Amino acid sequence: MNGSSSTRKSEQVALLVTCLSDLFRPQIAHAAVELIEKFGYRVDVPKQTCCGQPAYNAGEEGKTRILAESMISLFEPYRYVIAPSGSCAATIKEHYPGLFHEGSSRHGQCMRLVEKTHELSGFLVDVVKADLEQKKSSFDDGPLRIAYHDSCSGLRELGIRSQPRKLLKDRLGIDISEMSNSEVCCGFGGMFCVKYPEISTSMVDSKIDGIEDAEAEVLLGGDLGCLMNIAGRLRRLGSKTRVYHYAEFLTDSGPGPAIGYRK
Amino acid sequence: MQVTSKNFRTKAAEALLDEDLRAAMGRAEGGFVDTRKRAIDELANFQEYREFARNTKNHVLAHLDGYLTQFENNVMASGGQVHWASNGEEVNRIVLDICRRPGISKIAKGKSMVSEEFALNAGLEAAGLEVVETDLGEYIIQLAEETPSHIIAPAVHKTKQAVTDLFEEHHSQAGYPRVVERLDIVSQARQVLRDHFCTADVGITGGNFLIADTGSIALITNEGNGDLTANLPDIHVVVTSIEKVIPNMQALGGFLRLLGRSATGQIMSVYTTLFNGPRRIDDLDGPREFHVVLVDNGRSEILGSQFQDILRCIKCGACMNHCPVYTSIGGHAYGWVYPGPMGSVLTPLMVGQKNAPDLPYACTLNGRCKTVCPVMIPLPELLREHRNNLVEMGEAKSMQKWGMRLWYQVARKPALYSMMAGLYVLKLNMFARLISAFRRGSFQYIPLLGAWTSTRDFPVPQTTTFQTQWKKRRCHD
Amino acid sequence: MTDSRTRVLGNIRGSLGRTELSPLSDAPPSVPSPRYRTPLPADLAEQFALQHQQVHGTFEEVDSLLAVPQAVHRHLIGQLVPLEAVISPDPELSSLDWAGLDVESRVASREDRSSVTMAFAGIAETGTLVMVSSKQSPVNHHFLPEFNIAILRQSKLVDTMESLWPLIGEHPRTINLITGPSKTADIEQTIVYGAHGPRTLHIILVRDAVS
Repeated sequence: MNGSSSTRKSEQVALLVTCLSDLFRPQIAHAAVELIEKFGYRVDVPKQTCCGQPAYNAGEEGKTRILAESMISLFEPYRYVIAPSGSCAATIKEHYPGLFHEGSSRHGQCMRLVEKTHELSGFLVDVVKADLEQKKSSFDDGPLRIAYHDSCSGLRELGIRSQPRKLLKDRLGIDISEMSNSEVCCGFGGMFCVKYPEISTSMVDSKIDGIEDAEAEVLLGGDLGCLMNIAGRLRRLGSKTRVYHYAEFLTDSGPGPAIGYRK
Repeated sequence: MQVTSKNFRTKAAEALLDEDLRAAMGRAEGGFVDTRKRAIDELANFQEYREFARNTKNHVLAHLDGYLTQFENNVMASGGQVHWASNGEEVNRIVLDICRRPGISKIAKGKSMVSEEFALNAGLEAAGLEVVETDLGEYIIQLAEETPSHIIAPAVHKTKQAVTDLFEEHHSQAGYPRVVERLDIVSQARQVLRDHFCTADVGITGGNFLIADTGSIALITNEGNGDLTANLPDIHVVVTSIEKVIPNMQALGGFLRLLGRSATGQIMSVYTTLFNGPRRIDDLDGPREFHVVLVDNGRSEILGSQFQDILRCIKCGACMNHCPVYTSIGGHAYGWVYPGPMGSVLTPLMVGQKNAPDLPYACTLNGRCKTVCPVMIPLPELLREHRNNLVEMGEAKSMQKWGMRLWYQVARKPALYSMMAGLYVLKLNMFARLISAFRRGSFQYIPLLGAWTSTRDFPVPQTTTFQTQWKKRRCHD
Repeated sequence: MTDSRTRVLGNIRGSLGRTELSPLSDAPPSVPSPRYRTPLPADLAEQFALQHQQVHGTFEEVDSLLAVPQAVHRHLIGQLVPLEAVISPDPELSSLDWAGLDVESRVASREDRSSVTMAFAGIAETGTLVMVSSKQSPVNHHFLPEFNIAILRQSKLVDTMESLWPLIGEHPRTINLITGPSKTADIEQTIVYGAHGPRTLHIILVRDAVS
């Protein structure tokens, strides 16, 4: 592993767990911790709740502001704040600043949080300049065909596209089998998927057409909401394609059961 | 046009079951997206043009009264007449006044989305005038007695078979044969509409850009119907809206480089025509009268508001072509003239938020529209602004308010969150064991979450949250 | 009762927080120059021909205006249409020797199958014909006939639209920027040529430019 751990020991990284990972997929947060620690950082998980994204997207700015304020205070002591989710990181980086008056002290504090917050793969590739070692004997039965879904917030608000691909290439030594619709929304959209389930299902079905065209055995992505949506639909349709967060594929122990699977 | 946006939910669900519509939308989406991308990739400084267009529109909006007055003066200087209309009723009255003269019975009409806002055709027909839409797509939906489902491809939802049947129904009496092949369909429309062009007394068109310093109307089409509509009848009436003014001809070139590419992937549409007033003394053809109706219809209220950016829209349709919601359900579900992302922003502003409460939520905020918009309208942000307003007005759906309040009360207190989250995953895990979802690893049904589980599995969680697991790990360290 | 004009302009000013008419004192942004990934041919005629053919137009070059009637003749034969055309009442066109062709110099009507017109200019960047209306150049010629043949002098080529505007003096009633033959994609998004305007657009470029 590249990484001069001695200089980084003192730099404390806070993990923004994200609600969905906290509740439904702790493996992602564990993987994120492992990856960050690999490069000599000390990872802490201060007791946290939600960044406020659902409130913000529902048009509840007041409530979002209150949640944002506690996140800002919570993460004040840390050098970096890393989230294994593009949409949670983007909520902080793109949308928090607009919640506070420019020039106010809160806004100043907020901008410090904005500066130090990163999506996991963006942090590893752009900040740490990580080159991950290739895993030994990754695939005994020949290489997997892996497709990648670019979740919208990470892609369009944070420019996350090449970073997870690079990490996966480093670690697994294989290229992504690209889908023609990798950049099209999967239909999750937070509350959207339960507010308009029929439209959402139609959208995830289009996404699945792309997965099938790419003949992917595995679909990876960087936002658990999207992944649960896609995995849930694939499972319901009886597809064999398994879905994981990309971080789960980068750890030493490798991925456990896929989303929605016990084994 | 009648507003049916309140029925968005039901109409969207119906649209999803319409196989023809789905096939048509699939075809259109692929075509528009790929051709646009090819055209834009070639123009290396496309982004510079987007910024130019955004800045120009912002500049014009900040001086809108000045530019409109300049435009008006120049139209009059070239012998045209300018009419101002605050709302649809006034437009209908103005156009009727122009048409209510002996000898006027037929109106040829080019595609005008603005005129759909206040059902101009219906108003004219009620006064006994015959109105014939001349854009092929508009003509098809006029025969079908439908409304446009896309702002640049109004009949995008119609199959070839449907057009064949429509033409047979409407043209056979005049001796026209049933036409099946695409080329024959277009040829028949050409013949039928030629008769109308040559016998129309008035031609009504829209206008894509109004050039202030020359008083010109820029009209852009691919078929050429706009030009025949404008040029053959004795009277040409342009119905257009106030935000379409641009400073000068130099600016027009900047917008044209964006419009064709964004709309259809064309470097330039086939016909871009600049109209300046009526026939000149020694001209051999052209209309004897030239009228411009400048329509406000709520736009001056949007000006200066948090939604002003939507007035930059040049109606290219790129946002809808790239919207996965629009391409799933088509345009009609949106319930008014303008569908897709720009429509979801504009419709509540023009018909009232209470009449279109679903539209601001009919979006996953995926942001693809914003990245393709040639005038850089922050569409997702504007939809979020609508949501903010609906919440402030207390118009947000009660279930959502209830759920949101509960979630918020939990999320604002870390201790409560920790307890509730722990309890929730544990209960869910136990429930899974009860109903054997546990072995599958995913639920096929969860009470209160039917909207998800009716079509999708939901993963069975572990017995504890990550944060609890982390605390344990820390204790062991 | 205030009239609509006062009301609309008043609303605009109200929304903009002003009471007086904007004097338009600050200049609007200036338009960028286009840059292409695959550079367009430097020679304007070559550039024009390339772009025009991309939009389904046809193109040929002749050495002088005198060669135009023969070129028109050949083109009409190729299109399998009667050897007749309505030509714009342009003295230059009328003075040519049209022997073998039945041409009439007048306004086009719906019975005319073919027309011959004289372009005011051509825009190389987009392969666009520029037609300016006048007593020598009525507008219907460009739209009514099924087959349109346009004569364009090489010396009238400009690089971009921005270079065109200064060449047009006092604004004519219409300026037609025509880029290819008429088309529609309204039937299942598939392009069909000859929707309402000409099915074909043939351009004869006259090499009159001083080299």
